[in-house]
Amino acid sequence: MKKLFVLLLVAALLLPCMSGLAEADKVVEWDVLMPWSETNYALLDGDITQNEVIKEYVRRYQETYGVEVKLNFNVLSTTEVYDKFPLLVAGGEIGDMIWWNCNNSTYPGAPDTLYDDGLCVDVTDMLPEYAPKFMAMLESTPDYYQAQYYTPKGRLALFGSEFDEMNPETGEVELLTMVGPVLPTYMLEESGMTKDDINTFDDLTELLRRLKDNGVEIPLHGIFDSWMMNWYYSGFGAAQSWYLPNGGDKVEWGPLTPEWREAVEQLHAWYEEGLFNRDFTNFTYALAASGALTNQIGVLGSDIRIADIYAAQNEGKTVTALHMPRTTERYNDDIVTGCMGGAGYVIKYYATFFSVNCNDLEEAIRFVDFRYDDEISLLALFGFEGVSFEYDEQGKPVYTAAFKADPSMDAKYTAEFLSGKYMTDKYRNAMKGEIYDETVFGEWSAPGMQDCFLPENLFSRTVEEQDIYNKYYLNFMYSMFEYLYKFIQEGITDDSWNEYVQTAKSLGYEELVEVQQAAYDRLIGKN
Amino acid sequence: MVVNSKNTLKKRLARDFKRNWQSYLMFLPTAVYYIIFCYLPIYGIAIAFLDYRPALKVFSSTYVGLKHFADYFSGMYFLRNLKNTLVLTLLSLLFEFPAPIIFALMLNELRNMRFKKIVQNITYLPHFVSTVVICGILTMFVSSNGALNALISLLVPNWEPTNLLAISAWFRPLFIGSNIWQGFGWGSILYLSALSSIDAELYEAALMDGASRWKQTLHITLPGILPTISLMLILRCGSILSTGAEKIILLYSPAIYDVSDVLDTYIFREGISRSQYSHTAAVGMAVHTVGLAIMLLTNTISKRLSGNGLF
Repeated sequence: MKKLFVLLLVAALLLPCMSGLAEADKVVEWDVLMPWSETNYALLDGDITQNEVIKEYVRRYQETYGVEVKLNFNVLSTTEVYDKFPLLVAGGEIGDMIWWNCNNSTYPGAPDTLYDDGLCVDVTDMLPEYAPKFMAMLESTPDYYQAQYYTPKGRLALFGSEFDEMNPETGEVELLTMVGPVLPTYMLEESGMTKDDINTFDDLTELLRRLKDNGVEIPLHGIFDSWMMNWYYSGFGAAQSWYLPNGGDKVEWGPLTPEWREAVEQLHAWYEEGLFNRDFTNFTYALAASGALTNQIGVLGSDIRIADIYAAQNEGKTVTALHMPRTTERYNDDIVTGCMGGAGYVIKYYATFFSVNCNDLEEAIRFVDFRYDDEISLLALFGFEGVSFEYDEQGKPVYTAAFKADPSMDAKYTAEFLSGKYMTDKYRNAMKGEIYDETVFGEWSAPGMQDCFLPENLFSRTVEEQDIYNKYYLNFMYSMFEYLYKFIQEGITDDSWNEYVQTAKSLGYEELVEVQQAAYDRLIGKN
Repeated sequence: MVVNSKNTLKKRLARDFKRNWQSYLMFLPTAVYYIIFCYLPIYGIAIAFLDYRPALKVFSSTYVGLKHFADYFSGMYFLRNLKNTLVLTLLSLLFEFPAPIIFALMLNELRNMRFKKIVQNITYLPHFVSTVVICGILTMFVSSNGALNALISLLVPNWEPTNLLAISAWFRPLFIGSNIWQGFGWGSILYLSALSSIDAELYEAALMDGASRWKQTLHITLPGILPTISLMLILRCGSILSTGAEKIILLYSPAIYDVSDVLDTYIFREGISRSQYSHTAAVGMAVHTVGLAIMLLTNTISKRLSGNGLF
């Protein structure tokens, strides 16, 4: 017993030396509140405590700055993001930091009110000193993107976020969508059609008919999601949310346009023919992800990450990315007035907010700033050389075969939220791998499209604007979804369309457009 | 005189406490629970009249009067939410409320005790299954590939399988039906208990007078459990505007909001998911004020008709 005790004591003394870590100058412990929605969706409930990248991040931080960091995560699940998270913030139970964006849905009037009400600290003035990497990144980007980081009161509220579409080589912001039409390759082969046969919606209808004849049931993923189905609506020249027609600066709402009606009429025709699974109203992200494990993946609105999971779970079955179809008449048009994907804005999910009680605030800022280190970004997105990635002939990192074949490695060896840069480079590289078709992916991604895209949460609104927005927006949105689902199931008549338009107007359409326009004008420096 | 009466009351209370201290002790946790969770938070109603920000003290937020009430009552969702709530509650009163009573009466007629126990156990089981699981089962059961569609396909020629939970006409029958299935067994316990307290001699006397089983049920059994039925009805009416929002949230989608979006689901969507605490506090206050009025009315009617009431 004595010997064992002595051995343990010696081991405890020697281990830190053997690990090669510099002795820490100080030890800091932080409680981190972290809703997990987006990543959870992609990783099927990855357990954050098992993530090797976080451990490595902490280790390298100690190596660089001599500070030992202990992180205690309070991780919320996908659904808790929408209920428990706002309640925790409202109750001030946020620990030292929140690694997630706080907007008006999280706390009334946030982010400005989080500072005004004494829940979080405004670190705007501290960032130049304690977050030099972030500030350098911010200052190197165009004004339009910088503006998104600030609240109407001029506070920097999105420290910790990153652009989703930054090309790491050129520094340019490009369009890159992760959502589009995909199909397991064997299903496409069995249909007797090839990818190049499918260019218009008529072609897509023919494919769906053949798939139905072959007993394939295609799920319609995310019809309610302005992001998941943008590729579909844009094929009709329509937008599912706020947009700027023809790249202008006048904000409009897509679902009231004739093009949107046409797109929905096509969905109704498919519904009537039974060309997609009629359970589409039950869609959840979790169902989509678990469905990917059981062949429930299909041509209509699949997130590329689901395709990733599918391919990894079904050995020998690859996924084909299809061309984004257009309506027959507009096939030769070069201009798509709608929007194709998530480009041109900051990924706000990964913003960091510091509690007023944050332990050693300066150190906490520096710790988050470490995300903007090039080596850390590589670590966060690709993990460990020889394990999860290797370099190709051009010297670029690509995932190893083992990584591609085992989705659990994604949860263990990447942590995209810890990357300050190159967010989508991960997917760019993944898609250039064995699973996807590079040429079609190239078509999915296109530079110069970002001006037409206006995500709902892009703007920072003033308190007065937010009041008007709160009063109308949710009911307005839910009403639109109600009609959308009815239109898909029952079709659209002139009467039902007029009723829909009138309802939208009675629910504050004009007031909402005015608010969005004012916020957009402020963003581009017009007022 | 006043001082004397106070002293008398104090003395009486002290005497009573000394004699029944065990009962007071048993009552204590319940009293503490209600004080902490039901009475103390009542002051929070004030946020319905404020633009409430949780991190500030309640009365530090801006006073806005009846703005939140006006916003809701003048919007298009108020009437629809109210209608859906009332329809679901009335359907529930019509079908769910009598189900355990009828079941208890039927069980009461069973003479084979072994069979009775088996039936009781089986019917109690669904009560212990969580709402989430029940909704998951129901969703699969009525999906386009589910058992119900398969069954209908067998019975109805040219039936096109479809997700029944996406069809407005199906929501209410499915919701009420699943509620009955889950609750009728468990709900019958109270009535079985009331049935067991009816004097057996009454049945013997009725039998000697030549009363049939049906007549015995009508004239002895039902009047015997009528106070329990009245009590349960009054309590049920008190929550007439609460429809079990958690189950609806798990089952509904925008496709069927026209029949399924009730006051409580609206409160959840706006209040919790969008942090509109003041707005939904106003809606909640209005709902519960109406609920209280309905309960008082039911109590009065019950007292007049049957002589039974809560107070």
